[in-house]
Amino acid sequence: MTVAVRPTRTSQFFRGLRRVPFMVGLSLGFLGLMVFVFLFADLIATHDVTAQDLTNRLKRPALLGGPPQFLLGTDELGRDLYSRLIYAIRTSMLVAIMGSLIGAILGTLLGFVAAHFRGIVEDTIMMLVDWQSSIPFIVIALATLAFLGSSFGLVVILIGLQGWDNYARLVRGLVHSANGHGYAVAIRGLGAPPVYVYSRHILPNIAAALMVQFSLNFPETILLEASLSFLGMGVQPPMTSLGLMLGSGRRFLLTAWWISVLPGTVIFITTLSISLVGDWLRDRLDPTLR
Amino acid sequence: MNLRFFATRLGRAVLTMLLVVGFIFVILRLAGDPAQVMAGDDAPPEVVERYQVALGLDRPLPEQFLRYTASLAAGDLGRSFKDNRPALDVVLERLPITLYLGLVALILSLSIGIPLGIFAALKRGTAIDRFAMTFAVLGYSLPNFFLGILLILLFSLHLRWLPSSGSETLWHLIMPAFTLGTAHAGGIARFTRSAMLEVLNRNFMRTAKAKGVPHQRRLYRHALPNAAIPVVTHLGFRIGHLVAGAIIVETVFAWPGVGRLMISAVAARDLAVVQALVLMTALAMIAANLAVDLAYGWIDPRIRVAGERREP
Repeated sequence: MTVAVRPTRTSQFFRGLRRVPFMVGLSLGFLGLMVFVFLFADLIATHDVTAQDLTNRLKRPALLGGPPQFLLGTDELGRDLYSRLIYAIRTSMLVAIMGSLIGAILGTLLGFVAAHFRGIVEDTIMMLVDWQSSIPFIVIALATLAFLGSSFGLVVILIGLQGWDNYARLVRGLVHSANGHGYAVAIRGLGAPPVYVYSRHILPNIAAALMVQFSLNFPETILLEASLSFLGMGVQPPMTSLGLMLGSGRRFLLTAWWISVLPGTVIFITTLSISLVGDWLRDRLDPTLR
Repeated sequence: MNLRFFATRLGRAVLTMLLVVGFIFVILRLAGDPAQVMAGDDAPPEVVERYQVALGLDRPLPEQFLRYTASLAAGDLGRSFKDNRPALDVVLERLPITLYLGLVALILSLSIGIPLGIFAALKRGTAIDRFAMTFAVLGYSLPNFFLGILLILLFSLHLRWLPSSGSETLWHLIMPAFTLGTAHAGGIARFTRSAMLEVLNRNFMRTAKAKGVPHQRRLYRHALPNAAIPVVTHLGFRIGHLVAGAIIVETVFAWPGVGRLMISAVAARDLAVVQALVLMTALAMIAANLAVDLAYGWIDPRIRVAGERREP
């Protein structure tokens, strides 16, 4: 946490944690579970994700009367859905985390650049921001994938490019106002070079707002990956992701609805949890945004 | 409406459109050498070179870009290799059916979202408010594709009430429009609520109450017009979400509109159709945002006046 810089702040933060609302606590718990699955997928998976068992196709989850060795049933090739779900969570989280970080870093950097250089540099960056806001990003992403062909790296980059405009717009505004504040003027007056002022003084001061933006952007990256994979344009087999599982299970809704419903539920609860935690964070960290 | 305000907004819209054309031009060039594709992989270099000259690929890039833009402006968007027809015709043919779905979804989301947002703001902190906000968060978090699949499971496969795919009858419209509409209703409700709350806290509202303006009149003449300004701007952004949602929803419900066309064209790498779709989407969105900008100036006289005086 960026807030935990000094001991007084840290203790304040932990005191605050005790007053976490029930739903936010639940969401944090679920997100913790997702992180656990992400980190220890190899340990908790019971089957090889690509191992086929053609005599056990489209089996029900064990709890619903399916064979006991398949906790959440099997798909059309007799692959274990529990293990596939675990690895799908890992892939989706990996893409979403990398994508979010790319967007955050790129956007923040361009926001600083725009605010520092002003003039034509700022105008160009802001024109690109306006451009990106003017078309739904999924259209740009689909067109790029159509022209250049789908690959894992390109999908990650595209997901990273979504949302950079929000960071750039936010950071530019915040840096403009921070530059006018006494502390920035004072440090600059003492002869500190701009990069030092931005990285050591202004960045920590706007970190709270950036975290809030991150929490707003993260569910969108999860949904974009899920949408692209659902449409068959994102993560490609033999890799699997939540959106891909949902999309390929769609053909078996009549006979094996759980193939689609399981990953769909995970996506839903994850985005819901992040939204709830994000709203709560926003109220706590940055009262000015509310 | 004054001319200067109109001209600056129009200029910005044209510039944005040019950037879209530039984007397509860049990825078109990145996608590979069209001359090589036309001549075939094992063609001798002289043949490829002749194709390059014929296609104008030997000219400097800025000139190529200008030629490309000029041909697009003349309405030449290339041919669909799948249908062997002009790409524009393929897109325009599917457009009405998407507009039909989109308009119904938009009306649905406005007629749910705006009243819900207003009530939530007026009854802040009550059960209605909490219900509206829960609805908004759910609408935001429940992805279109998953909601669509759940609806198909319930109403098509389990209850057998509604058809799961196609667009022939009104019954076919219910689930896609509901899926597309509710997600936006949530966002609109949330936004309307915060716009409304902000207006309700303003000094002029307190003054109106103090001087004895009746409740109804305060609501309709003072609060709603002021809250409408940010909401209308927000709707401009929403149209983009609606387009993005239509791509997904049309795929889920096999709705034969431009969204599904986009997916099949991308899958088949029918690049002329993809290009036409991106340009049409951009054109529609930019036009919608221009309309919103102008509507904004019309609703709020302060912007119109400011546009006259200041350098925009």
